[in-house]
Amino acid sequence: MTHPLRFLDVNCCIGPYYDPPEGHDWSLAGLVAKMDELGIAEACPAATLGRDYDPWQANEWLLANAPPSARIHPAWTVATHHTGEFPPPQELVAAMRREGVRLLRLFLFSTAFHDRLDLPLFGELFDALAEHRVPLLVDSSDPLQLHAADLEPVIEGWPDMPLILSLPKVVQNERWLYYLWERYGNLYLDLPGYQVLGGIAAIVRRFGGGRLLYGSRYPFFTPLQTMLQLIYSEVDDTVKRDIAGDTARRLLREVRL
Amino acid sequence: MSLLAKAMLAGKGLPDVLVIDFHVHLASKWNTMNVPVCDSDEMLRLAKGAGVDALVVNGCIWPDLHQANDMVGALLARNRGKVVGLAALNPHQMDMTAEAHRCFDELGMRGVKLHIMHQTYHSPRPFSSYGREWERLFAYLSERRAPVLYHGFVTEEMISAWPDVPFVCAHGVGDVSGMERLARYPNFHVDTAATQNVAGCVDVAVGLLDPERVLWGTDAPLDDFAQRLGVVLDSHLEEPALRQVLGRNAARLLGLPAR
Repeated sequence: MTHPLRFLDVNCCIGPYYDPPEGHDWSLAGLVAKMDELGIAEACPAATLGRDYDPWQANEWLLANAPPSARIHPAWTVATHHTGEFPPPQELVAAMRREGVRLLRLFLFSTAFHDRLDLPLFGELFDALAEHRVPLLVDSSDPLQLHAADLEPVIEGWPDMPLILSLPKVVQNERWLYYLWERYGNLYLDLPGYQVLGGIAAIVRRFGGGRLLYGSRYPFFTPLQTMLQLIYSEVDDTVKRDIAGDTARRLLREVRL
Repeated sequence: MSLLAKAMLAGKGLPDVLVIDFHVHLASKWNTMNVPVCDSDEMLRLAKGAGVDALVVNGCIWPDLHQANDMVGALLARNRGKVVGLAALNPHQMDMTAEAHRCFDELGMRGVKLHIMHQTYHSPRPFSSYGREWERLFAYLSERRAPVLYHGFVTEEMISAWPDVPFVCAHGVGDVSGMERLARYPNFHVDTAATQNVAGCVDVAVGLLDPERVLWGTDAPLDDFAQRLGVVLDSHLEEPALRQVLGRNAARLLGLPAR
């Protein structure tokens, strides 16, 4: 053991994508090898196909290539169902129950299924996720794409749906994150885009250790960078354990399918 | 995984490695993000905790660059051996060569920082129109063999024309096409101070430029020391190359003792 923390990576992807670096192994075996090398206990991989190609085919790929296990908790890509390209919410929940899936991921990219959090489309889906306390990781491609006006109706309207926000880079966003954290308990931020010096300690001082989750953004980033950021942050060991994985484990445990 | 990465993961830092952060700003507030560490002494304390030996600090964010350079000078006077200063220069505000002279000879700085953010849509004229001023500055830096950390503006023509000036492209480790284009100039370097460093970027940069021309940098206090160490440590570099990137290259460019 190279460190005492039991990391659970809520933000990683496997499967084919357009632009892997030379020699990169995007298979589950490649992810597990990296986890073993660095000492990451568990991970919630999504399929990059969900971002680049099609959400449901991404989930089928994940089913075939990364079934749930003690260390791997697959994260399905989610989308809206109105065009028939993706199952309606109750069918989705039934499939999640059947396949042991407890985390969903929504890509908001200009080239993904959804390019923004267009709230009227998502109501039925969020009703179903909140009913079963399913956490939703919202992966935004642009740090300035989301604001309090986009997120407050979601976390206020569906308080039983934990929302994990993943930004490529945290810039002005903290001004509205602090506003939302002062008011709501179901908003979380993952770490790979939050790179500011002393930032983990500052958020923990203000809001406690329950708002941040370890994620790596593997394979695009090395998981080591966020691991070291947490290991060397000036917060106590209990908080480090929460951020490294215990909070995410609790969120997965609280899912009621 | 390298022994250095193992040591960092075990919380031991890098005690036998010279670690110099080539890209650091005076700790201060900034409009575009919430900066928790606004005190440079606090930043130095955090750097030490992450195993960083010295910070190469510039004051380019504070709009009055004369004053910013004075603040960097005061910081390095209080922290000899732990802080190295770069003079922040801007042709709209000063005779750049005279200011570089003052910063080097009176304040003890060892290089220059140029940032394209000083050229805004309100600028009275573009940076590039100060032709003679740039010539005088680079001639002066060439005599001193003093490095330039630049974010934007510096051109291939400048790098080619002033071979004795080490140019370090801020955040350049992610710009593969730029590295490919400029690799043939031995005075072209890059640093690692970028938020979107993709996995393997340091291997790619070293492959294009050799280990001598890649420098570890963070952009602190906007970014975290340990986080940026992870970018370099999870590479396939052998330990001698890692040591070059982490500190020896900066020491060489700045005329500092290496270990």
